[in-house]
Amino acid sequence: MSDSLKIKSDPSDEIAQTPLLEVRGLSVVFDTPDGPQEVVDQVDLKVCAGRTLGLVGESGSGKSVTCLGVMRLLDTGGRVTSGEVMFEGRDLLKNTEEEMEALRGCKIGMVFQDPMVSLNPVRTIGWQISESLRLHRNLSKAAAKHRTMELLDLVGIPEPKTRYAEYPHQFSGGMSQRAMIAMAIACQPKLLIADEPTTALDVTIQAQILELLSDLKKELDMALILITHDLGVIAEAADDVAVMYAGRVVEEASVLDLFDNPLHHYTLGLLNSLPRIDRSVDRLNAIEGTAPPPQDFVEGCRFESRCGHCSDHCYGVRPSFNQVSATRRVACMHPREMT
Amino acid sequence: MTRYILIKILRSVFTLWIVVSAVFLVLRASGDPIYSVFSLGTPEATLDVFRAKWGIDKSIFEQYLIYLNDIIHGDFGTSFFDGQPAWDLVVARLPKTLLLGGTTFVISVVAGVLLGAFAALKRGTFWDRGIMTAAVASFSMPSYFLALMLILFFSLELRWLPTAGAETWKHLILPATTLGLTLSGSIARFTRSAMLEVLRKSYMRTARAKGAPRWRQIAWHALPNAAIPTVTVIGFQLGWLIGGSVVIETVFAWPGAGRLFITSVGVRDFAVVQLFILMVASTVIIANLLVDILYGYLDPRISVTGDNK
Repeated sequence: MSDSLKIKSDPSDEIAQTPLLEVRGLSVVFDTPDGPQEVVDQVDLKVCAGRTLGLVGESGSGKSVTCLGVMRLLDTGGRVTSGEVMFEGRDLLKNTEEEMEALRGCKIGMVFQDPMVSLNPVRTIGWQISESLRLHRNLSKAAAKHRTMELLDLVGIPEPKTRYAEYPHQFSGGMSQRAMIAMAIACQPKLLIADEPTTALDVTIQAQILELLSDLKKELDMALILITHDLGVIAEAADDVAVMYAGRVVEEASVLDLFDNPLHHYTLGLLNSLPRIDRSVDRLNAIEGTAPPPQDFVEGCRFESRCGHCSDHCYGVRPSFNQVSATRRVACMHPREMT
Repeated sequence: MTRYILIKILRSVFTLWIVVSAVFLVLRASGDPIYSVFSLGTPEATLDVFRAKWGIDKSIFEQYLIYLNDIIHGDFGTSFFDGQPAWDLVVARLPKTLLLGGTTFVISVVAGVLLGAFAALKRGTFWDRGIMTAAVASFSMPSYFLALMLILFFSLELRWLPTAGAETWKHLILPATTLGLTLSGSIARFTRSAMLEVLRKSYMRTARAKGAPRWRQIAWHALPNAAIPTVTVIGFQLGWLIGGSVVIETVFAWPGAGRLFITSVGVRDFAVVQLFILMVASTVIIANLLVDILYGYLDPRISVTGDNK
């Protein structure tokens, strides 16, 4: 199949657009007592303005580390070893720390997994949200307070006046996550990165938070990167999906294509392991085995040990991307048939 | 809040009663003051007059009731030796003690917190190891030994500073350094571990993700959290500081209340010893009460009224 022909025949809108954020060949290494370990290996990602990219994978697949690498927020011991992170025409990896500080919380906001521990326990919610505004918007105290009240209202926190002066321990999990979101969008960022924003929350609250995120995305015209291990979240909120496995992206597709016709055997395994509402099953179809830890990462296909379709080609050589259509590609030696 | 403080004060009064009773008993069990006032061979009649004058001819229990009654009425007794009220004697020495203790305390807290925080930020580096080695060395060393070493070096060898007395600010340097090294060493260690704990927390990453510059992350996000455990420790150290200053005042002949205490213990001057102990106990109790109140102020999760979760 000719890739170039395919691209020309399918000139959909989103390719014509230059991506807001483009990650090319990003690798992240962590220094451990056993030596350096590469946990993110040559990851490519693309997010266009106004769209939601779902980054899905098991825990340890490197999705959070990829985003922390993009934000240059890796903990000590972690470092980006190669790649480019193009944002608004600049490579973030070449920025100085001061330039990154000016960008974080201003052009790129970030929401973390566990809101209860991600908020500072000794500062009021209002103080923590207005801090973003004071840092990047140079607002007066009164103006920042006024804007913070508006933000609290925008993210659906009732009685902003009272809540402004309260401390994180007085907030429920859902309310804390709303406050975290208010903090991240305070300066109307172009891009919001949400790292497992609903994982620590009750199921009923999860849906509300996802809805809030997609409402805000439309209202503020942001792009969103949604990191999750939950395909249900992806189905609900994402436009495009990148599936990560063992530090690599293995498949990229639009959300509909991915659910309709997964091309990577790992993606299919993930989809099959979802509980179905329309069918009753005695057991969920889990993928046999476990994902390898970073010290066991090989150069060849890393899914090989759990895959029923591998051959000698799968060993030793990294599976290259097969550009199936303008918006889809898969890194597998024996991808599934397009239907 | 008022209720909380009232309960605290009632408990403190109880604690003070125990301290006062224990000191009263121990002092009388340790020997008769008569032999430190009079030489051997003084006629029995003279001794009896002395005993009757100071009320030590009565039974221990009677003496105890009189003593308690006097304290409640604000009478802390009179010194056997110069016949002055114990209160006047001790209070006259307090300014010097407060000068030494206060200077030491302020310098130690500032230096300890700064060095500890700095070591935590430079974890694993030369600075961290250097500061921590010095801290451990300074608080492991007995203070009288450290005092003598400092006197040997700075007074006898270099001849920069006076060995004893309290006439000028130069006299303050050696005793304050001796006390301060020990105190700041332990404060530095506690601050360091509190800071390391806080720096690992998720909310520090949130602060970074917000674009807060490094100094702001530390001053506005990390330090207020690290202050919570540190303040508790500093409160406890205050009791230690008083104990330490008794020794140091003696070594450096610093004319404070601590040295008065040592001399008074030697001659069994009941009233002075009892009052001094009572004051030390009150200071420690008040310090702990202040720490409790400060704690509630620093940590919004803890409510001093106890009516919140």
